[in-house]
Amino acid sequence: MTFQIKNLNKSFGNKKAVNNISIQLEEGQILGMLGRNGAGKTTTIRMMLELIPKDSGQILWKGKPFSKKNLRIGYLPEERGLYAKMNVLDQIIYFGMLEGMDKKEAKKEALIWLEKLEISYAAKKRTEQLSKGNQQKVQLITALIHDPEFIILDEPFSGLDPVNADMLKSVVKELIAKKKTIIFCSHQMEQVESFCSQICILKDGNLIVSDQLANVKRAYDYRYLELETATAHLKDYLTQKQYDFTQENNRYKLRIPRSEEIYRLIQEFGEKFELQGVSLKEPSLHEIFIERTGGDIIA
Amino acid sequence: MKSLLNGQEGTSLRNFSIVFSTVFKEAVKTKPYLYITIGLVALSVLLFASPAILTMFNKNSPDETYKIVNHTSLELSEQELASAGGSWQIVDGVKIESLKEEVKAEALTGFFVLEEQTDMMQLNIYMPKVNNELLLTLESYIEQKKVASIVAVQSIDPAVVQALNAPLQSSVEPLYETKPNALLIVYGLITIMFLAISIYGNNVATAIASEKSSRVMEVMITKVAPVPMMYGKILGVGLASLTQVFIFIGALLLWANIGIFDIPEGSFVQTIMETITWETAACILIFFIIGYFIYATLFAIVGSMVSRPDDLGSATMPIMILLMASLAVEMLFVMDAPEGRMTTITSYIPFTAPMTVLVRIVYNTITPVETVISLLLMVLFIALFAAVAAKIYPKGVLKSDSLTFKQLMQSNR
Repeated sequence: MTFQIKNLNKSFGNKKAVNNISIQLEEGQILGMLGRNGAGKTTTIRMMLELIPKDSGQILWKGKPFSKKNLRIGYLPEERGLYAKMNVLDQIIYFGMLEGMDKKEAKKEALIWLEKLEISYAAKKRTEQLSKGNQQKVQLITALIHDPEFIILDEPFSGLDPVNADMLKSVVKELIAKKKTIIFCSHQMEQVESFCSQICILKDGNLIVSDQLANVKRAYDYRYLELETATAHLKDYLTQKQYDFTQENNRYKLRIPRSEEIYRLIQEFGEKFELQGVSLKEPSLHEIFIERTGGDIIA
Repeated sequence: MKSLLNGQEGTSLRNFSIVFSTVFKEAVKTKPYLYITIGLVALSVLLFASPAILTMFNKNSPDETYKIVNHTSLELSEQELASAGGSWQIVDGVKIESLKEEVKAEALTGFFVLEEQTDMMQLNIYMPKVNNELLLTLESYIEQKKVASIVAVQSIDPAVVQALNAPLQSSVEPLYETKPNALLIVYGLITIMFLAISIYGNNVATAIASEKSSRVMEVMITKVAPVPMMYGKILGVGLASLTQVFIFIGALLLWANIGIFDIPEGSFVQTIMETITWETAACILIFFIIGYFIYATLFAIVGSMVSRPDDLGSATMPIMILLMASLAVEMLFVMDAPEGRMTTITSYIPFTAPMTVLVRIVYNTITPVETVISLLLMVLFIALFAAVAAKIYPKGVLKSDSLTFKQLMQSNR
């Protein structure tokens, strides 16, 4: 494995913030790191970035310590921050230079990125004059300008309108196509599901899930059968048969154990009720997350 | 990208220089900085022009007209009276009331009535605003005329008169080898140092607290190690402040050398020019920088402890008290006794040493050995501060909430 976290531990006083976690990731893969607030994600990231010392364990990149000395790292933190009074171009160049680029190179890349994210017009404006969405774009550029090999994106979609979110999606897809290794932290499960081949879920400092997303879903012992019908009797029937289900207008979502013969059930419902639609779904990441972490995703 | 994977120290040094130059450029680009710099240049002009301005205000206007009613036997001359300033007219047989009306109507600046009494002469002055300089000259002129009249009448040898009139000369001799106006210079220098340290030190603390509150610290901390970042800021803001001081001093030197201002003999401007030699200026500059550095490091640490700039007022209070206490020590003890025991002690206490040594340099009461020892102690103190800052600053900047000093000193928290 290219990237490895081995038996990582960190305590703050009596509180175990990260408890013996191990994660592996191949180069060019994208890992969705999930967990409620306080689960240990930020502490893990801060240890990766050497901002805080680890109590024990290893973080490796191609067998060597994971460090800025050995590879280029791009980091978009959850807590965004830019110099409000500095102009946009100077700010991007400044951050680029701090990542080892020379000024000329940083300026060239900054202009390319500004063009790509459609904010070239703002290059000479003070950052505080930009909308929140455009400031997010500047923040993203500062994380990616030095063409990092390893990228940590912490809540990259928060605060973006649908148009800017689509633009960011295309940037992330581009990074995936360039075989960048990415850790993607988000509470927006549909985004994680659409980008990440691999996920890990942290809870109270413990790693409770870590696998390929498909395997995680397959390992689940239930699926969802969605039925659409105008017949009101279906609800009574499902209640009588003690099915675990939810209803939304004419749509019924049944939680079916994997052991059940699903086609037999469809046939049974089809014979008894007039169905307008039938679909079989694996549990969504959102559902898995809530079930495994035991609560709302937004703490 | 070739330069990306340098040695850690090389990277730290490079990032320090990037932070330093960016902080400096951003500081000097702000409007307040520009206004203060222009203000300082204007102040330098005012300082040099002040003797000339004062003379101009004190000088009698050529439009001023005076009349004198002479009821004595003294022979006064209008031309000689004009040396006191303004134009003069000796009048006779004019009623005082009509002269008063002329003054009220501003047709006359003032008038005088000189009368002979039994044993003395009486000069009555009628002026809405008494001009002391003019009066002194006038009194002196009348005294001379009176003496000359007596000498002529009594046939006294003029040499005897001169011997009798020979004044007693007195002068204040300085205790230290310095100019009498040195006190003014010392006041000026320590005031500048106090203001610069408190203003620019607060700027450092505000810059760091703003980075924390705006969360830009979260990004910066991944790119630059905390200690190079802290010193990059301290030196960046420090150089910006020194640039202003240099511009101010440069303007003073320019005015002194091009000679466009008339500097009267004995004025404090002339004393400054004579007292502050290049060697003295270099020493003052070194202690100024070190003094700034000691306090700016403290301000930086405090800046890293608060969560937002609004909290800085109370957080920086202990530093401000320390700074004001240093100023009070200078005013109450050091300036009174530049060779006293208290002065010697405070020369070796890092918080008071910059100002004390500065005072002693101007008063010329410090030896080169004492200067070097004081300097070394301060450098050692800064090194100690740097070690403490290296320990607590990274923790402070990573915490989004306010922290106590004790919390910062606890390891790995």
